[in-house]
Formats: sequence, structure tokens, C-alpha cells
Amino acid sequence: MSDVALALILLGLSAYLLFGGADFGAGVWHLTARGAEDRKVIEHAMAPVWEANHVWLIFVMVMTWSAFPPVFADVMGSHWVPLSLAVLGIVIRGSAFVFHKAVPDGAYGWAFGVSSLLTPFCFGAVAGAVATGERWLGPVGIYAGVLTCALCAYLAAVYLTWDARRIAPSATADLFRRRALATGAVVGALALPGAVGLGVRSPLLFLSAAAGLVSLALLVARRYVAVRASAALAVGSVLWGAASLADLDLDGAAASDASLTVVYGALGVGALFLVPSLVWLYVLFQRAEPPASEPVTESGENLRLRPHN
Amino acid sequence: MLGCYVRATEVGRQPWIVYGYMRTSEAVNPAGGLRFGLYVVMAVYAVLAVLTVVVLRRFRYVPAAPAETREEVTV
Repeated sequence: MSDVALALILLGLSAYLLFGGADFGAGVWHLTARGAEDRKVIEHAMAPVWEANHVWLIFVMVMTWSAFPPVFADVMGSHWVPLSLAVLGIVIRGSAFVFHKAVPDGAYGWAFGVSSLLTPFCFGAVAGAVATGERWLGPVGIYAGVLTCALCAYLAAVYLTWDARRIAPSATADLFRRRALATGAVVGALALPGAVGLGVRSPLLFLSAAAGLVSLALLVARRYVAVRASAALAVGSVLWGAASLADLDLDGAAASDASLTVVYGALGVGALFLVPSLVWLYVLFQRAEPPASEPVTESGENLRLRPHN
Repeated sequence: MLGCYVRATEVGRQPWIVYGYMRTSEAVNPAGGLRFGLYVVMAVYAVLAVLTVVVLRRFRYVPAAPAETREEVTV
């Protein structure tokens, strides 16, 4: 029964990496953005889903302490410093983003970008430490933290290429495309040797490398929707590879079947509300046309006049 | 009355304790140095509270235009 719980935790972690991770990555690109156009694309893409993706983090935490209480206590006890820093990063990030929207100011934008790096670094370092049993500020932890930041930046660049194509001049979309190609190459060069060195088993390695190469090819071919799926697969398989390394005594740590039954029941009811809401949220803001209630602006006119190809 | 309020709001915020079986004092993280974490959180929230007031006061003088239309000027 606890296998289902473990699968759900991995699923939640994957969703957090793929959706929340892209938000962190967008914050990193916001930090390095040179023009107003790419900042605008990032803010446009992020504003509607602002902080909604942290629902996956809460899901993972609740599942872990409900299904594997000793594991939760152990991880929290030994890694409360990086985990607290990650949460502080989330708090500062969300606040700085809103302050920056309200009062465009370099300091708020800077705080937003730096906290967008701090949180994935800390989460990645903890994941590396849990998977290998090393310290979070040891070589493995730092490697996992840097790799997580790179994965987030890569995902964000891939996702934002499509967003930029819809709402910004083509030069901006091309900028994100080049960023996606460059970070994709960097991530591959970082992830694969590390995975081999740490002893990740071959099917996941192969899957990640293949999906990464397909993503690069799709980016070159400008297939911006398809590359979202293949990049997500490439990034997700890195997480699953790390999970395959972890040597946790999950059977001994699992809660009783009675507790797990209640947890699954609550999850089913919660999913009835959560899944349709999230799907609706993503669909609404990925539509090509802005909602009719938005003021028609200069760029809104341009959007309608630009040929759809 | 007050007791009901405290229970309704605060017990729900500690879902890791078990009513009647595990007290809050038994659920405290045994790691050392936790108080410094508390100090940092208090400092961060104090700064955020000040910034909230600053941003709101700024709006008193400059009425906020919808972000989308205001930024169009620079396009």
C-alpha cells in the first residue's frame, strides 16, 4: 500500500519540478533579462499562475508526513536550514514579484531573481543529500543544487519561447529559443556525467539523454509545443534517476494501512476540486487570444493583426 | 469561547500532531539552532510589512494604472 504513496509523492515532486521549477527558472531569466520585452513576456506568463504551483510542494509535504512520518522527521531534522531557506526564498519571491508589478523598481526585480535561484538551489541540494546520504553543502549537494537551478532555467526558456511567440516580437521569441538551446546543452553536460558518476541505472539515463537530444532537435526545428513535452520528460527523468539512488527504508517507515486508507480517501476528494481547477487555470492562460475583459492595448491590436503561422 | 477559537485556528495548523496522542512539545524538531530560524523569519516578515506600507503609500500619490496598459507606453 505504501508503494502507491511513494508513487504519488514522486508524481507530486515531478509536477512541482515541471510547473513550479519553470516559475523559478522564469525568475532567473527575469534577473538576466536585458530588454523590457523579455521581462514583459515573463511577467505575462507568470502573473496568472502566481504561486499556484506551490500546491505541489504542500502536497508532497503532507503526503510524506502522512505516509512516511519517520522519513519526514528525519529529513526535516537534518535539513531544516536549507528547507527553511527555500521557504524564505518562496516568500520573498512572491512578495517581490507583487511589489515589482506595483512599483517597478530594480531592487524588487533583483530580490525576485535572486530568491528564484535560492529556492531551487536549496531544494536541489536537499534532494541530492537525501538521495546520496551526503551533506547538502558537500560536493554532491552543491552539484544537485546547481543542476536543479539549470533544469529550472532550461524548462522556463523552453516554455517561454512559445509564450513569447504569441505575445511578443519574433526577436524576443528567438532570444528565448537561443537561451533554451544554450541551457539545454549546459544541462545535458551537467546532468549526464553526474548521473553516471553517482550510479544512476541505465534506462533512466538513456531516457533523459534521448529526450534531451530530441528537445534540442525540436528547438532547432522550431516545434515549440512538442518541445515542451520532450523537455519535461528530459527534466523529469533526472528527478526519477535521483530518486532511484535514494536508499530509504520506506517499508519500515510507512504509516499503518488504516492511516493510508484515510489519506487516499482525502486525496481523492481533494483531487476532485484541485485537478479541474488547475487544468482550467492553465488552459485559460494558454489561449492565444486574451480574454475579452482585458483592455485592448496597442500590443493587443498587434496580436490580432499578426499572421498566425 | 476563546479556547474554541484558538483550537479551531491553531490546532489545524499543526496537522503533524495527533489529538490526544502526541503533544506539540513532543513534535518539536530536535535540531539545534532553531531559534535563529525564528529570528530570520521575524526579520523577513518585519521588512515585508514595512515594504507593504511603502508600496501602499506610493499608491496614495500615484493611482495605479493596470500594469498591462501602463507598460504599453514604452513599447
